[in-house]
Amino acid sequence: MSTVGHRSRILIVDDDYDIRTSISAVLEEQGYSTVAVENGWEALEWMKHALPALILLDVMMPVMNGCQFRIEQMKSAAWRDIPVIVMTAKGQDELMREGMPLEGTQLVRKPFDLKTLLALVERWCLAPSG
Amino acid sequence: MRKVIRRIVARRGPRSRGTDSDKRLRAEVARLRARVIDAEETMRAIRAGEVDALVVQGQAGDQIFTLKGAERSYRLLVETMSEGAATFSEDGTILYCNGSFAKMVDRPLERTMGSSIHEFVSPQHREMFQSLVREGYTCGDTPPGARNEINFGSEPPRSVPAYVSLSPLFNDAGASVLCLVATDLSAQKRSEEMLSSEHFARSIIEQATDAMLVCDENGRIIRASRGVLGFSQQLPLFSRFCDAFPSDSLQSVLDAALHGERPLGVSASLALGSGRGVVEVLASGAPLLDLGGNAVGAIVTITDVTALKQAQKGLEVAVTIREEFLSIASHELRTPLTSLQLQLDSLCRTLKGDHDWQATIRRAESSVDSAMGQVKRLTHLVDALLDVSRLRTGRFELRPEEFDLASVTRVMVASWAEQAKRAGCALRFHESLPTVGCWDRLRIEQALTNLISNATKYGPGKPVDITIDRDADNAWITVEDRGMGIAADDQERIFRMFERAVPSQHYGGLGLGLFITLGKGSTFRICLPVAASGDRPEASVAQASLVGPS
Repeated sequence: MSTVGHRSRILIVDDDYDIRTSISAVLEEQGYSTVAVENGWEALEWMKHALPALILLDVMMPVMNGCQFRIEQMKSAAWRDIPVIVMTAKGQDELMREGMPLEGTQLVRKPFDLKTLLALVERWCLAPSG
Repeated sequence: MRKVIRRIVARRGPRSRGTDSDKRLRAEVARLRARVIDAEETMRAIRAGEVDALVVQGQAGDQIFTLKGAERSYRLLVETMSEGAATFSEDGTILYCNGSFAKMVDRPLERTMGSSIHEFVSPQHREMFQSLVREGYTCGDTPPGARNEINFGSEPPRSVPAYVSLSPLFNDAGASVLCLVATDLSAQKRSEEMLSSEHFARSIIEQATDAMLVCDENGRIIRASRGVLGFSQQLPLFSRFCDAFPSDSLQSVLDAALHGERPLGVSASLALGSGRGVVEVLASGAPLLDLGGNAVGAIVTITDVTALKQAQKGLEVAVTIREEFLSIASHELRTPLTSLQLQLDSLCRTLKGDHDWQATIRRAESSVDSAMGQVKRLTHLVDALLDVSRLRTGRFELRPEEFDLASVTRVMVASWAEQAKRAGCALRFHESLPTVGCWDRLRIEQALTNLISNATKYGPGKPVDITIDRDADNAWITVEDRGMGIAADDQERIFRMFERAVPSQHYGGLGLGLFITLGKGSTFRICLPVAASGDRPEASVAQASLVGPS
């Protein structure tokens, strides 16, 4: 169990309270800094003020879903290169059909275990933000 | 054929007495003259062929003289006639027959004579023929004699149907010989069969319930089944196919069939005319061949598949809805599973870590609580799926019991308070007097859960009001939110299975809540009949309704 010795900021976007809080708690425990929001629109609002090192994104959410969020993200040069881990029950084909831009994303199928999530987060946050 | 014997009897003149020579002479002349006249008459009759035999009265009695010429002409007549003719003795031996008879029994003439006539009769007709023979001996020689239809030969196609008449033939020894005349009915039978098979074929076509059309090589309709009346108000006989059925697809079926092809199941839309709408059809075609295998026309069948197509469309919609449902169900089930997995993983790490025990226990308790919550959520989802299955198969049962609706609702509202708070909703329960009735407690809790869950999901950040009312007959649970509301067009639809008023990509849930329960803000009201326990069990069935914006 390695603890990453940096404070990379991770944005968690999920409408499910339990998922939001449990992921947040575990990542904080691992030394990451986290921000949790309920939908795509809230995520975009937050990103206007600060940039995360990584985004953990749910797909089915009210107000603005994961696909719509990704489309908005790709429109901005500042946001385009932020890596995204898409947490979903759907397959890649289904997401493509729904119009989600998949470049720069990593899919993780629900339900996933903590080890898998931590390994992915670690891989995508290699460059410590200081 | 009966043999006719003409009888000419030589006339005799009056006898002379010989008293007076002059008188005697005159009498002799008269007698001789009479004999001459008689002879002349006989000669004329013989020349005219009217005489078969002469019966001459002599001193030794009557003498019969037959004429050979007459027999020959009869024989010629018999031998050249098209009917079969034969004479046979009492034991059935053929004494004489003509060529037509030999041909009829399919045996050379010389071998037919001398054979038994019974062996030429088909086995199934032998008994009948024997009784005909018996009748023949007794019926006398005046027409019509004994008659019937019998078959010669054994089996078709070698058997020959014939109309047979039998009459006795007198010979020197009395009536021991029968004369048979047989008319070949094969040709007649063949035409009868052809007529009947033509009728049969026509009947098949005309009575067919599918639309069946027979067209000539110019595409003109020459036969049409009753089923065609499903597509046109009268049978389009003798009109051109393209006029009766103005559809390019149907015309292509006919054209292909006229060229010897067999197009199968070609889809087409057909306007019925006279404002009777459009039907979806499947058409097939095949060439109509003559005996030489040449296409002389075509047969086109048209089947109305409108109902089938509609059912298919309905099915496709159902499949789409089900697929969408499965996708949502998968998401809905995976979300608490994910959460559960994370909680347990986290708990594991906490327990393995080198921590202050007090803190570890507190965190473990929190993880376990959260995990229990997820299990409850999963159970609720699985129950909802099971309810759908029960409702669809008619195994949905209510278990009524007496309880106070107000207190059950109060408990439910309290248990939802924390979750509602996360959605920014204050749950406001408006207390009332105890409302006791006989209902299924579990189902009411379930309905309340569905309505409160919907109210917080679709009306986040705003208060939700829950009220209990009652009058003499009914109790009411009202759940009122201040959310997005439901468009009038969607208000009926949302009570159906898997339905929701907004796209599933945005809002979680199985879309089963209102199907199982049965909302500008939306106000949902559950009406519960107040009935004595066990009195009217069917009255315990709740009615849910959507009340207009309040």
